[in-house]
Amino acid sequence: MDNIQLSNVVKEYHLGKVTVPALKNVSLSIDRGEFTVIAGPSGSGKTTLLNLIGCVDVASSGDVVVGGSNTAQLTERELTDLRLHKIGFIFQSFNLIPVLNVYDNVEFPLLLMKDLSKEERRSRVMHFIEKVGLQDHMKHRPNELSGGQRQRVAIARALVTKPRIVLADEPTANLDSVTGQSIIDLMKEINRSEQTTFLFSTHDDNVIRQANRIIKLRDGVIVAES
Amino acid sequence: MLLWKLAFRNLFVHRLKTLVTGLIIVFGTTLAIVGNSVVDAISGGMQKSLTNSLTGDIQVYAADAKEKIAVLGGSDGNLPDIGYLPDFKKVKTALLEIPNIKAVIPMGISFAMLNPGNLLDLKLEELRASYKKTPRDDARLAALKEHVRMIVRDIERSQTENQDNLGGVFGGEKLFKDAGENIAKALDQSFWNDFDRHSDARLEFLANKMAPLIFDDNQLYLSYFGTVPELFEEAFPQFEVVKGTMIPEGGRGFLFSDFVYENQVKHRVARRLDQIKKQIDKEKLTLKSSKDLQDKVKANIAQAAEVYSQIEPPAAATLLPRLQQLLGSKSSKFPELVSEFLAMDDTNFPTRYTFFYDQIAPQLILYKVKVGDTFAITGFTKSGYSSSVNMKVYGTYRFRSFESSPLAGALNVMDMVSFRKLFGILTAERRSETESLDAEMGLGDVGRDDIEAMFGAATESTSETRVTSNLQSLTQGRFGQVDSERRDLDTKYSRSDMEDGVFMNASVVLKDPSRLDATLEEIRAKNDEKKLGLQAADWRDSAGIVGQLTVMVRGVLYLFVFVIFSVATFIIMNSMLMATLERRREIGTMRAIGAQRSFLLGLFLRETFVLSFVFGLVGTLIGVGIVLAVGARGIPAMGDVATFFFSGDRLYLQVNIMHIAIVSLCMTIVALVSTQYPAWRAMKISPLEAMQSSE
Ligand SMILES: Nc1ncnc2c1ncn2[C@@H]1O[C@H](COP(=O)(O)OP(=O)(O)OP(=O)(O)O)[C@@H](O)[C@H]1O
Ligand SMILES: [Mg+2]
Repeated sequence: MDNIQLSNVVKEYHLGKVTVPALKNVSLSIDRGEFTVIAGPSGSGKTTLLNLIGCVDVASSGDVVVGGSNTAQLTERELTDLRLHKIGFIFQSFNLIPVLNVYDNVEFPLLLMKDLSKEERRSRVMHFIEKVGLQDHMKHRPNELSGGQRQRVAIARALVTKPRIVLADEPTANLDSVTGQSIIDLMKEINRSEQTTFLFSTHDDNVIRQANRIIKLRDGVIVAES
Repeated sequence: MLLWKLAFRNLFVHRLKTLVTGLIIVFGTTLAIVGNSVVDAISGGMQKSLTNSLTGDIQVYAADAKEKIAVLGGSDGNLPDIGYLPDFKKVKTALLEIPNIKAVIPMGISFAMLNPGNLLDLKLEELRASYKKTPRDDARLAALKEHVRMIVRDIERSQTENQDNLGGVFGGEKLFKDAGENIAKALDQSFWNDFDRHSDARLEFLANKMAPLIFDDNQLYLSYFGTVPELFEEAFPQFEVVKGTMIPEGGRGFLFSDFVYENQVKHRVARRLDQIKKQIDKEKLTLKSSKDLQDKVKANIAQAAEVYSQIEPPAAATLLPRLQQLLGSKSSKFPELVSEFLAMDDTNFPTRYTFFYDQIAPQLILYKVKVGDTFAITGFTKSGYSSSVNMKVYGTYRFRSFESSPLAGALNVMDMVSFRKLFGILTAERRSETESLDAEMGLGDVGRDDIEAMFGAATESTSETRVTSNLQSLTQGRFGQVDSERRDLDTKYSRSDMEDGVFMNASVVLKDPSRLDATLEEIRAKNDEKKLGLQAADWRDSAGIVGQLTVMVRGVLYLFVFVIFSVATFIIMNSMLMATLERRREIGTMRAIGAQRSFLLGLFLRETFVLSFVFGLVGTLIGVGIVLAVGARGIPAMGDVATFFFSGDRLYLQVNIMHIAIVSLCMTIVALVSTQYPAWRAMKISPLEAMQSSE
């Protein structure tokens, strides 16, 4: 029951009178420790799928079960709580809080959790900052960092709550290929050392190749899995 | 902690916006603090002015009064009908049982009319007196006669000039139909040849046929209050006599308010010169630049006749060369020279002002009523009759520290006995009762009423009755009956006479004014207990429209501050809303990684709180600083009315903790209100915002 389970998930967007089917009857399950990539052309529904798993959106029909809870049955508060405790997010455009420095950005979710002592917080934050190799940039603001460094901060922030799963929607899309590769390497390393489940989308064939599981989407349908 | 950090950082990052909003808040709070302080000081100053001048701390008057009391006039400028109460002594005795009451002073406020007579009236009066004098001063008689002839010539001139108008209005009246004929008679040499022999007849002819032809508006309308003058003086320490002397204790008499005396009784031309001088000296105006001052000069030139026609021909002859020299003029026409003299400008004003008072003023009737004169004053009784009483003017008075204010200076003073006579309420029938009462009380009455005064009062009672019963016949008197009433005027009255009887209202002075409300209650209780038939109002309620002024001023201030704070609220709200839109991604991210909506509300509240607290504090400190700095030195009173509100020449400010508390409360409300909508909008932002790929 630790995993993520989608069964017969349909997601439709309504644009006025037009209904856009983004996901059509998707079922899948993700186990602990997996390093999974979602691939597919633009508009195939990658982001939509990640949003449903990330509990920032709800399915039109079907069940999305995250950490044992069916998201359709949760309130807004409970969904938020679920995101905080069970899910880590890495965004395409990093999404750091501009007024906070590296340390504060990483600490942010821990402060929202409210159940850790100052020392616990500190050691956790330091652990992950070291993990992403930014111990020398702790006092820097996001705008003083490179894109790759920013994404490392984002990774540290996503991991600091020790989530069940880390979701990343095209984490390398805004980075050059070398930096992008280093981010993938970092994620793989963490996946190994911390046993963190990663689920991310990408267009990049280089990246796709490095995953140990690939889910291919086309027009809202899973067309291949390997 | 995180929230505070975020709030501070956000404000810091958007420095410019923060600063603009902050400045508005600073302005609002500073204004609120300083404004309130000023209004407070004015309110305090006014309280001092009112309680130290007319109203005292509390006014009591008849419970069945038709209107509310307004000592300084109601909103329509009229004196309200407050009825009267029959027995002052009873009220006073009862009220003085209340420990906090220091003094109770009877009052009665009313209007009266006074006609000092026109120039010809006055000159004829003087001529009549000169004929009676022995030995006869022939030179003086000749000068006066010459002056009278000149005045008649002036009448003739104005008659021909105004023939058409007058014919229309007064053509029907015999006096005016015969005017031409009579003037011709008065100007005829034969009229003057044997004037001395027929002086009585000639004077009467001139008084009856010529004097009424002068259309000078000499009527004075005076507001006055009757009181026991020495009691009043004692209770209101700011009262002081300026010209002449105080009405003697127990005597009948009249004191002009110095303000009225200078502004209504004084010769118009002299009055304007005084005003010009004051405005040049005090307000640094110049004749060149001030339209107002130029108008005054023009009015003086237009009324030059009021100067030259008052000057007797011999005096005019002496003045003529001096004026010629001063003006560098060759004209030998005195009226022309006077007009030219009055056409003043900035360079010659000081010399001419001095010349006026040194050389010209002594020849003029500088005041229509002179200190020491006795005149007939006509009042209007309740029942609608008018009655006249002869009064002696002892002098003028003012209230120290706001003497130049017309507000407290509008009322003249009269003794209580005269007031009652004028008021038309006869006290005669109560006399006999009180006489015996006087005798009993006289000894216990602090020994102020000496036996003589008591006897005086007793023997006078007949004359009193005579005068009051003859009131009707006195009504028409202009100057008449002065002699016949002389005796009555010199009568001394005891304190009991003054206090006993009818009054309209009474000023109550407290020992401890801060216990005003409690004392009001005690007065009401005493009133119920002793059935005094009173109602009581504090100084604010009883002053009339003026008393409500600070309330209005404060209202305006609050409105102003309210507007500023509303603007601040609006601007803060707007900038927060903008920030919300700008920070959609940031907010969405926070939501996505697990921040609850309440977290955002907390963040926004803290931001506005910091904003309003920091800048509110700065504004408060600036306000307090201004109050301390300016307040200690005092704000100078601009204009005469201000001295009343400031109760002096300067307004001193004080910091009031209450104002700071109110301002803090306002700022909290601003913070709360301005956050609501932006926070609501922010809470609606979906975590999906975070997923949008960036720009
Ligand atoms: N908010 C939305 N409203 C309406 N339609 C949407 C919305 N979001 C996505 N869609 C539509 O749903 C389909 C799937 O979109 P989605 O963003 O999941 O694709 P994607 O695979 O992430 O594409 P890309 O590679 O370009 O990011 C598309 O047809 C898209 O137009
Ligand atoms: Mg996408």
